[in-house]
Amino acid sequence: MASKGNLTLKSCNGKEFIVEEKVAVMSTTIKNMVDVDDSFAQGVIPIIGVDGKILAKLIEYCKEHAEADEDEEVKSEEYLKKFDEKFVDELNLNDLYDLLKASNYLEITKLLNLLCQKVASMIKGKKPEEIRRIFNIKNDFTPEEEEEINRQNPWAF
Amino acid sequence: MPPKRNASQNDRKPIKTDFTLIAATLSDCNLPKPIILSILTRLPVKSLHRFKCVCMPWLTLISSLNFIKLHRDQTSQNPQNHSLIIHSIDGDNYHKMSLLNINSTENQQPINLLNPFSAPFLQMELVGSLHGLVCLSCLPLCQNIVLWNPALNLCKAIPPSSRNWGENSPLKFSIGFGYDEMTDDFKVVRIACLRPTTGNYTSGPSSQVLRSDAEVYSANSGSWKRVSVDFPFVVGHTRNNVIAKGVPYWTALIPDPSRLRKYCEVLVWFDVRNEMFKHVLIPELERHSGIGVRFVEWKGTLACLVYSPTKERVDFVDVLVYNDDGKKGCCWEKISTHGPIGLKMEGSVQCSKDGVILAETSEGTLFLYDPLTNGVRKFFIAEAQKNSYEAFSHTESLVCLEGMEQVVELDKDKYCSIMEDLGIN
Repeated sequence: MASKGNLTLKSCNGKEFIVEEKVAVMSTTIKNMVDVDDSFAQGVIPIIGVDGKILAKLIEYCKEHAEADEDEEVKSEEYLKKFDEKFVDELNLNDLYDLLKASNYLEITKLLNLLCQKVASMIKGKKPEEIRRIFNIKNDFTPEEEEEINRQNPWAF
Repeated sequence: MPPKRNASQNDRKPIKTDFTLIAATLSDCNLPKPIILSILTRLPVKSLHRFKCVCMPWLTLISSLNFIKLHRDQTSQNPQNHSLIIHSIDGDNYHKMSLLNINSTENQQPINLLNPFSAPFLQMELVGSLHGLVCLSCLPLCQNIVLWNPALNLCKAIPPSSRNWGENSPLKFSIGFGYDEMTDDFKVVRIACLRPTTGNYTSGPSSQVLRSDAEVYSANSGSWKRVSVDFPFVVGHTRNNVIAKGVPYWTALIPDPSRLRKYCEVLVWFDVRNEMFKHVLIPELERHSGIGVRFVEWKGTLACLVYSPTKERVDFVDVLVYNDDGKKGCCWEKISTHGPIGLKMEGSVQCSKDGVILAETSEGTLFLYDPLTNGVRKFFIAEAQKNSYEAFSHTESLVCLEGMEQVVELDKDKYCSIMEDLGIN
């Protein structure tokens, strides 16, 4: 049972994390749960579909940002920028993917933006066929249509 | 149904970022649509164009007006995308357009762009850049105006105004470029400075001299219309001095309200929304020889850079911003002083969206000065003449107007031979 001001988050594989409320409510989804139903603040909040490893990562991120929001002196903008860079650089691709989905579900906007920026910089130089494989997209153009689109923008290749 | 991820994936060792592995990881499940959208809005224009042929839904999305707006706003927020568009002229009178990314670690030098004025005009002018669209005009009549998206390599020549001046041809013209957020409309203003009249005017002699007429082109309507000019003024330059928050401003003279002098210098601006002219005071400065004053958009606000503010501090720059809080009196406030820069600023001084200053030394070398770090970075545009630079802050976009066409290359050799044929140079 968490003490006052703390919340307990439980991952889908049963791991529990006790975090400060200000850290947990970086997630709009959790904030809404706590605001609407007081019992969440007392008991355990289940985080559906997010395992312990990813939840720990999310908490690590939210902790740094919540502290920075509270005290700009200790954790400056510069410090946060460096932290963010290191945070995304150290992620392997499985984690990046899982974090994207988790931060979307938990509505941690800042983190979601950071991760999307990371994916954008990873894919910006790719070819269309590589993009289709990365995002599991079926090519619904006929070769003629594809050629026509390419013809309109010859400089893009 | 998409294949399910299996449990063993969680046991994978940390893996390197390379394409086959991204494919293996991301392909076995579809990302939610809002995430895909968010990723796409963060891509460069070039990548997005390439990705139009990924699939039909992506083509529709990337071409949609909503997406173009989302992408535009996202792009302008990221300092990595902040650039300066620079116009320079070389010894052969060849007009060159270059793009310099301010914060990129990849490209430190300016990139050459295809100049959309494929005809050999002698006096081309860079009017401004808004949301990735660049406005260029040709002197002295400012009839040839193009709106150009360098990232898409597309441009559109604005139809010339059908205004007939008869025998009273104006003394000069000046162009301004603006954007109205509310109607998502790009507008070009053309001010005509009229010849003085000799008739009897009740409002005093200065209004006989300070006569202007104006018309505005709206990209949405595709046509020109007259604009009423409600007070006497004459602008100083053939284009707007600065565009701040999508609004063009000109240094101009109006009759001095205090009547101490004949004229008084102000900034005339064009209310893009309501299509009317207004004016604001310029900051009061102790002028001395060597002082440089440039109006710029400083981090989204109308501002004034004063370089060499005193005789002793030649490599310093003061930043004054305009506070539009409705109070009377002088609304200019000095917010910071930067320096010593180590180099004396001269020529056309401009600044990027995040306040990095572009200036020229007395030798004609261009440099960027970052007030935050006090760092200086020199760079070169080949063959460009000293004092020939004009620059505006720029961020690329997918913004496209109806009737835009691809810019075709006119290389310098071809340009020079046309000039020779015409007997120029």
